[in-house]
Amino acid sequence: MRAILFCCILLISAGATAATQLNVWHMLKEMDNDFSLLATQFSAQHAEIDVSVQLLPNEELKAAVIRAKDQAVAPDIIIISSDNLGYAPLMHLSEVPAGLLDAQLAEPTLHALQFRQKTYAIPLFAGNHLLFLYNKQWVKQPVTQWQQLFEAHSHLAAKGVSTLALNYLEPYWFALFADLFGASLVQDDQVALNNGSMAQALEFYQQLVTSGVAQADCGYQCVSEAFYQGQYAYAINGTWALADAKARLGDNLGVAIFPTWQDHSIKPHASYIVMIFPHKALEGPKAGQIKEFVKYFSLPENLQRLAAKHYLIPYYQLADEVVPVTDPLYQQVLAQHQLSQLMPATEAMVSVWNAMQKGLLLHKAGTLTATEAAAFMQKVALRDQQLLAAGK
Amino acid sequence: MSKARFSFKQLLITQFVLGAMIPTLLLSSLLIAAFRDIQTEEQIEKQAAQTQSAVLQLEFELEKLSLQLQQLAKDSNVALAASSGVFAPDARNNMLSVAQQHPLASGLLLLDSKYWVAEAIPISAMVLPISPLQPELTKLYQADYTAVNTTVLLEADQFSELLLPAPNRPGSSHWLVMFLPLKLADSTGIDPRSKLSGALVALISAEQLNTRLQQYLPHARLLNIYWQQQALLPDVAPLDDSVVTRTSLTVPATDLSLSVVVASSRQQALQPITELTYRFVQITLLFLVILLVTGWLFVRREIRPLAQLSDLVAGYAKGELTQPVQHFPYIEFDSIASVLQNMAQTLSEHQHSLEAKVTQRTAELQRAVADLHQTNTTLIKTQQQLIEAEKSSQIGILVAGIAREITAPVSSSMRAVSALDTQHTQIIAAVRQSTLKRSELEQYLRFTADAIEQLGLQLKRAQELLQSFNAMAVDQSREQKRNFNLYDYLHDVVLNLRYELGQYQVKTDIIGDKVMVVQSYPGSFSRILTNLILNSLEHGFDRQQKHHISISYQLLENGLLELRYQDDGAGMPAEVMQRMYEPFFTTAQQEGGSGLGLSIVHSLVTQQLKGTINCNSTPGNGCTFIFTLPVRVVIKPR
Repeated sequence: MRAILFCCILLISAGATAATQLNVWHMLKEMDNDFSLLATQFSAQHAEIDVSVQLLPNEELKAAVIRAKDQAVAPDIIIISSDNLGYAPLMHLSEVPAGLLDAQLAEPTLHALQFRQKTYAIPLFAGNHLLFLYNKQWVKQPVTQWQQLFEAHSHLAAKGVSTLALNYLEPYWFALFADLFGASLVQDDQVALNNGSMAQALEFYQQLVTSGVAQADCGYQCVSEAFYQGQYAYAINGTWALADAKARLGDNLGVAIFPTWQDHSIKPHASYIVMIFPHKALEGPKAGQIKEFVKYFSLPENLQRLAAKHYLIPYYQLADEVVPVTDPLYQQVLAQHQLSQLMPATEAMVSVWNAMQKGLLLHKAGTLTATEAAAFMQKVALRDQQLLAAGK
Repeated sequence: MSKARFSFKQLLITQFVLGAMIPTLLLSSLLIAAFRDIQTEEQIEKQAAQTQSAVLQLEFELEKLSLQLQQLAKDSNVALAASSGVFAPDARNNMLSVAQQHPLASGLLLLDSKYWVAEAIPISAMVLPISPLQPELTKLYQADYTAVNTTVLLEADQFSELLLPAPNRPGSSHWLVMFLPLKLADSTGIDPRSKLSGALVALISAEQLNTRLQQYLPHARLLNIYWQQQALLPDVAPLDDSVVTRTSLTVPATDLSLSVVVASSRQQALQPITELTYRFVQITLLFLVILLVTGWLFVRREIRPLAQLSDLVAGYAKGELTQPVQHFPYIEFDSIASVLQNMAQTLSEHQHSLEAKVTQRTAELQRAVADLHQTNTTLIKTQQQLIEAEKSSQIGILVAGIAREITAPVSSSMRAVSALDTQHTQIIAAVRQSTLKRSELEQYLRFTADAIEQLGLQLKRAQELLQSFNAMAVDQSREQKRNFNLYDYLHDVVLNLRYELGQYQVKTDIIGDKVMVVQSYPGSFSRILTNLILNSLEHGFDRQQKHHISISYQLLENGLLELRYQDDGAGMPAEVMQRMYEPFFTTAQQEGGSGLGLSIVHSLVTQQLKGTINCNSTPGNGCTFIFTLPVRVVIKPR
């Protein structure tokens, strides 16, 4: 009898002391160590909360989140770009309670956190967009027009250097050129891919390859590692990669505003890096621990440190706010950020990427003309949008 | 001059080589033939096994593809991708992975339940017209959660255009299509709560099966793939010498069984044997060369003493019978050399003896020749004398004839002279006596006139006879070519023989142109005709019977003169004809025939006149002599 009593006491005490496991999934490879460090520091201060940080590629992350609702390792917090809030119904996101949200949030920031007028995200950083990088070893004065880049190609090739590292098959990269020709991707919460601007963008995009300025097989490795090794004069990569680029290229790294084409400039598609809570996590048993972690993570000193390191902008810093920075690189990032466009958190926005990629591939393969490819993109995007609208 | 065509050395080499080669070749050929037969069977079996293996490999690949597709269909990302675009990238990556591992599938499609192509590998399949797939998809969707994997064979030209590389088009439009239902289930098992979200479709072209089989069978040729007797590929005609193998190909998730027909070139299948044969031929040729060289060396050594022996014999043949004794390395040759030496010695002795005999015989022969020459000279002289005698005899005959002929005119003349003398005396007496009467004078005058006329006639006759004699005699005594009228001359010859002819009852005709004058030896003509006429009279005619001699001549087209002499006398038997031209041959030895008549005729015709003579005769039917003579015609016949 005493033995049974002893066992019961042991079980109760064990249950009382077991730490709550918080699963944090994110897609920012370059910040994985920083997130893990923050998690460790948080766990150190909160012994009852054990935070596990898991890095997943962007697309896999989204699918895994949707599929993982009944799994033991289902994420409690996801750090993702704000445009993915279009998946809010599919991911069963928790609405962020007012107390958890910074009351001083600017309107554009708040808008970026909302889906159908409901706030589903805690903001962390702004300035998540693509940048036009160059290697000063090969480029003394960065081009300001795409035509100049075409002209520079032969000179660079003569030096054995490729011109532009472009993650060619990724629709997010292609979206830059869609914008260059005035294609807006979504209009009034509806996909808007089937237009002449998109067709023009496709043809221009193809021209980059046929002229040899870019290579169709250039991927993530190409825009990062190959560029860092000096194989390319220019590269287009995200702000998230800037810290690595700086570390590898040092003073040879330059950031410039995207070149223009016949007076058309590029406004890169930007988003916030936010925290979201899938499968109604904020309404679940771990809600308290999640809130504790969010508060800790959102502390300005933490965000400031990470932002400075990764050339990001803390969410509380307004876009048009003049920040006294001395790092010329950071100044260029901020300048480009001023010229970026924030992606809306809509079903239409998340529906364009799959469609754009398919249209892009079909045009590249020669199966469809640019006009046909644009129409095809629209068709696919509409279907995805409809599926999302139907809750699928 | 030697007529030998073959070298003994070559014969020995040939014998040496053939002696070694023929058994080797025969044995090796037999072995190769037997080996070839065995290998042929083995190669055909190997071919069948290779085909079977290739088909099994393809089956395995299809099975592996099917299993991997089943795994893919169970992937929740894939199942979800049919109904939500958010899963598309993951599904796409997974499909890409399967497609890369299985190039057999020309296309992978992920369709939702509304026949929408959500994902496709390759990307061009995104716009694939799916109407050919719809019937089977409909069946699949109607079965809902009970739907199972199926594979069907269908025809779709549209697929080929989008999914096959240009060189494979236009080929077969047949496609093997695997349908796998995509199910979303809350639990691990499939039950009525499960939901069918779409289908995964793998497109495998018959052309791709063809390509893959060809890869597995690099040395064979796929003729066709049949399904229920229906050819899936354009027909390929097998080569004449090909080995055709038919194997069954089982397709997963269906009771489809395809029949694969493969042909391989018999020549290719038998290539190892052919190569072996070539190698054998090469070795044999090498062997042959070695044999030839060895044979040549051996034979050279063998025939060296033969050459020495040949030199020895050649020396003997040249008359060097006293050569030094030679010794040979072989007993046989040594023995032959010894025999040859003995023979040479004997020959030398015989030669000396023979030379002495020859010298003696030569002296005797020379003497005999000298005697013969002398005899011959004597004979020739005798013959000339006889011919002269014969000539004289003929002249004698001529003279006798002339004498006889001239007697009558001379006698008549004498009688006329005598009568005239008498009359003259009487007239003179009468004149002297003046008793001469006028009538007597006139009678005298008439008489004298007649006598003078008669005398003139007789003397003219005598003169003619003498002239004839003179001509004949001159012609016969002097063989001189001159011009003469042939007819007249022949006539004169006959005329000169009229006494002899008068002894018989003979009628003589001369038939020929009377104007023609020829240049020749008339004496020869005379002597020929005289001899022939006398022969006819002496040997052919009977005095109691009437006979006829016909002499005719004509000028032949070739310019030669044909002179024909024909009698109807006793004729000659063949044995006489064979010898009739021999000198001194006569059938009238008892009657005093000289046996030179026809010999002289032959001699005159062939030697003097340079002509030919031909005689036809049979006993009782007379004789015909035909002479063909070259003459110069001075006056042509009319």
